[in-house]
Amino acid sequence: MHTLKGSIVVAATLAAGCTGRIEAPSEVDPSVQGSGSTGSGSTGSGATGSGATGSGATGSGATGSGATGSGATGSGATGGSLGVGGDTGVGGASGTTGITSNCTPGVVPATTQLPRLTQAQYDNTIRDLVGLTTQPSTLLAPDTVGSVDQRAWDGYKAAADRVSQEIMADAAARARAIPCTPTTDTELACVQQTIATFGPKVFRRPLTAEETAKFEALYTGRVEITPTGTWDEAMQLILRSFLLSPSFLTRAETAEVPDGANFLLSPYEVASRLSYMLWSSMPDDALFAAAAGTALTTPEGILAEANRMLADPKARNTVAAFHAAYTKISSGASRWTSYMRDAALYPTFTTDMVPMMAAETQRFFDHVTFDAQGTFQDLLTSPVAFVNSSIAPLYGLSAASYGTDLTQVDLDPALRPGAFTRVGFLSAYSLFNRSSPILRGAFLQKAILCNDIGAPPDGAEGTSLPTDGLATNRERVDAMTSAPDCMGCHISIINPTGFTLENFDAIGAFQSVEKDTQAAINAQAIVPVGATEMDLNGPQALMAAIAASPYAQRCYAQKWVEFAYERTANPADACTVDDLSARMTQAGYKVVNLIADLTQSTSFRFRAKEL
Amino acid sequence: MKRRLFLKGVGGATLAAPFLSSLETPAKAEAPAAPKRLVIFYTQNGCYVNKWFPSVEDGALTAESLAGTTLAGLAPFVSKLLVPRGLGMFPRGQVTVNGVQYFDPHDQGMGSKLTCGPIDSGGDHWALQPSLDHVLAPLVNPGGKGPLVLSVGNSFANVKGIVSYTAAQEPYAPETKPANVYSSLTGLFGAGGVMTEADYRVRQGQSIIDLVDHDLQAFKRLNMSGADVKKVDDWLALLRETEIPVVSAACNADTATALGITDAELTAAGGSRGFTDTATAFTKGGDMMIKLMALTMMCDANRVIILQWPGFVTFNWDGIVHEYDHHGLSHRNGSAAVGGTCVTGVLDMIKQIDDWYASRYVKLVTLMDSISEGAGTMLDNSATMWLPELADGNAHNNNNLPIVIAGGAGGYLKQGVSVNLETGKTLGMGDSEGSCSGGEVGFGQFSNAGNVPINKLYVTLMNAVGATNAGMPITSFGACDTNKPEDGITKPGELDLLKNV
Repeated sequence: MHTLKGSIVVAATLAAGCTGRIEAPSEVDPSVQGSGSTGSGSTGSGATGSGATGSGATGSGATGSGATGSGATGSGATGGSLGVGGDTGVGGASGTTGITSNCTPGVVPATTQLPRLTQAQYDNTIRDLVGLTTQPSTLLAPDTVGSVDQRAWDGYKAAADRVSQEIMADAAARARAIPCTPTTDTELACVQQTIATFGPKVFRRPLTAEETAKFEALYTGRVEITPTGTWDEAMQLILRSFLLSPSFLTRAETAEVPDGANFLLSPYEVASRLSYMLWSSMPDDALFAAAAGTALTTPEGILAEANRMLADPKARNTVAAFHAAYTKISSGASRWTSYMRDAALYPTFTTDMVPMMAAETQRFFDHVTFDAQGTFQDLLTSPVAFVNSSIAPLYGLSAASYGTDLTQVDLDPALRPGAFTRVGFLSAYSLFNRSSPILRGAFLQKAILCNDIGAPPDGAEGTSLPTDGLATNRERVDAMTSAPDCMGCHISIINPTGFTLENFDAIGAFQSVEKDTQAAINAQAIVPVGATEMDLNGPQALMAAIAASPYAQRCYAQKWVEFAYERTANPADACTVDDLSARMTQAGYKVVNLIADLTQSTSFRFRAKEL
Repeated sequence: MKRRLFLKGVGGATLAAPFLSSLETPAKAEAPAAPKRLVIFYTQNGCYVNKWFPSVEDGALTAESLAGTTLAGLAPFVSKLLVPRGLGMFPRGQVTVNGVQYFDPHDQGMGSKLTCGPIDSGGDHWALQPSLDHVLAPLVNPGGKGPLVLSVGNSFANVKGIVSYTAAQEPYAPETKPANVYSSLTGLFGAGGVMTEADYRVRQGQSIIDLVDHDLQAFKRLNMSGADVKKVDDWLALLRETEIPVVSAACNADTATALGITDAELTAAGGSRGFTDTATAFTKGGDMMIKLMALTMMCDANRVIILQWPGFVTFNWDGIVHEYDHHGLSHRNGSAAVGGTCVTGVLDMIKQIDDWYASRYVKLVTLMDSISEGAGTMLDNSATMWLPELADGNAHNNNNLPIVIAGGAGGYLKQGVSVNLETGKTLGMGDSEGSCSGGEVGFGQFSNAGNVPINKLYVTLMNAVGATNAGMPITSFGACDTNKPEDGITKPGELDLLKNV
């Protein structure tokens, strides 16, 4: 029998100190998503033992944050998630000290030739094929990179069943799949026409003569293989068979045209790479037309298509998915999803604000990227914000001036530069009754500067906050983390980063003094930004420093490479990251330019020959 | 493929309500043996141990042994029950893996319960070996397919919500949507009679398989990596397995309807789009999962089934109105913290939850016993086990586990008895009541007994449902049966005391 008394802090090896040591990226699978039913976290549970545990999403927040609290599987971003949702997707851990690169030009990493559509890609593809938005992916097994197993196959069968039924029952969808309405005499011709026009869209490439014949045989043999041998039954069977085909379910890369050490992708394969990267969906007619010609055989031609596609609204969903992962809004144990705040200290806070704060941040990224055609630096410094009557007061604006929809405003650039001075981040990375320089500082160092400082030792979250004789949150946090095992990461790296944001309280509103002691807040600190220690006072200085830091720029580029290429940090991609990072230092290099330039790498047009 | 469609020895069904039959002896051929199954009904957060166990620790069980306990609802089936007393899970407590210690009894209770080995002390704390269901299913399932793992409502996608593992560090998420379970069965439905080649479904299936196979063969001709070659081969092998299998004629849409599985009911239970609320998931969804489990077994689509009930829910249905979630109540103080003050009436609340789960277990057992199979029932041919994450949710202990098994797996297991496997020791029930004697949360007087490794129970169950190791009985399961993983299995073998000899 084992009793639990007091705190159980287990001795665990501390991840190699805060030396900025480069850690090998973890073996994570970038195509495993947090796509699933739109769950919001239910009650999390904290680590066992110590009294201060458990930040339940439904508000049982005590002083610690539950280490392992997580809700039900969260959803990938709305619509077109390219599929790297959540913690498991974006590695980004191989931050480099001194930014030395191991670029070997021309090396293309080995990739699978048979990547399967993710749930999100499946939904988008059906939407773009026939216009149905019924989310058949709920029938599919969770995304994996392994073999198709029984559960996956059952899911594909169920989805193909349902979608083919829905197509036949919906006049508009049916017309997109079957371009003719035959009389009895013209049925065969209509079948042939359907296979000839719909087939290449489903397979995303021209069909072979054999394939065409096999699908046609489903019609000619319909008496044997359908309930009563009618035209409708035959067509439904043909549609179902298309949707069950591996050539639909996988983005197969089969062309074997050698080019040096690699294989050159066929134009149709390039088209699929373009559309799934930028739209999380199949190519459109214009892209198919480009694939049929020579436009996709040169980097310039590919770039032209990429720019066209980035201007299409479908790109916004994919870019939103990236930024949702970058900010961890969409991560599996996201802090942004639902939390409570102490009503005594924050009487204006309501749980309704929480999703709106996340929505504002996502809107900000979308606006800067597309509407303002901004740069990475703009993401961190732009004073644009989106407010409604509920969250406007958090920015010191009058609620009466705004309605329920988010409206664009310009805030003071000295106080609110960029995404991480918006109330969403500041509030999500706070605690029940106080701001958290640790949560904010650790996030900015790890996720934005790619400074891999490792994880806290088990049970660290249960450490209590000393308050005797300490008037400010800043002093208390430093006192709490001054033990020898903690100070290496906290005193010189994590804490000072967060201290520069201490003028923002636990719901992201400005505060000049501590709420409990009225002590003045000091936001000046020596913050390590990449390899440089900088003396920074307040949010404007911090965000300007991060925006200008080659470490933050490289971190952003690296994460885009991983997201776009659906793989974790790979030495073979170092050249791409180098190139993009260099461009980011130039004034006026827009985020959309960076995304388009992802199509210009060698690994985008070639695939490695197998060993 | 064609030969297997002619159903030798598996005849038509009788659907005389209220008795459903999954087998009927055809005129000439001898009665086929019904398949044997392992069904696991899994709950979390422990229970009110003083009131859970039957009053008899070792000996024959009668309705009176169950009276006043959480198991009272099983009285009609007392002659088919086996209560194996004195079992404990290993490893548990502070276990060192690769020089690192980690201890969270919930992570362990979930991760080690069906894997009988340590969990990873770092990272996500996943289990380091496959679970019983994934080891057993390939040995007993048609086509060697994997188990059916279900959850009522959404469970956590982390170590606290996963009880099934395909391999080390490979959690296997449960299926939460009844409609998906149903749709994977409809492909097996016959028209109510024997399925022959003349059935268009057979030929249609053949055409589709032919098409998909053709597609995959084109991939096979390429020069691909070993990993991609395996993907193609695995898919081809799956195609061969999904050819229309020989199924009982009782596996059809009418049977589904007779069980209460209809489109309307599936939608009310949450459909395929997820649930609107936990109450619907637990009540309608839970009932529907139980029915789908029965249908799965009638169709012989799976012989290894787990039904998980997530632990972090607040009970607000069937007359129970709680303010705190089950996990918080199990800690007695209403939260995830340890210690503090007992919520007023917390033990009664825990008992309410235990009784509710017991009523679901009774529902499952009742349904299985109402389906005749040959001389007995589906219950007789199965071992349906109520397995808990913990014994007492406040002490978080994993010894002296409250376990009950209904059904004898076709005569393999003793019936109508409680068996004290720790011969010579008095086990006692443990003491949930002592945790709230003075308002402050304490731990009561717990017994240190009840440490017969649960590995041996699993070995017994594997043999009971017909698994073999190349024709020989299974002799061991799991990575270890003590708190020292490095010592491996020290007590292999079955529990002879549970066997019907």
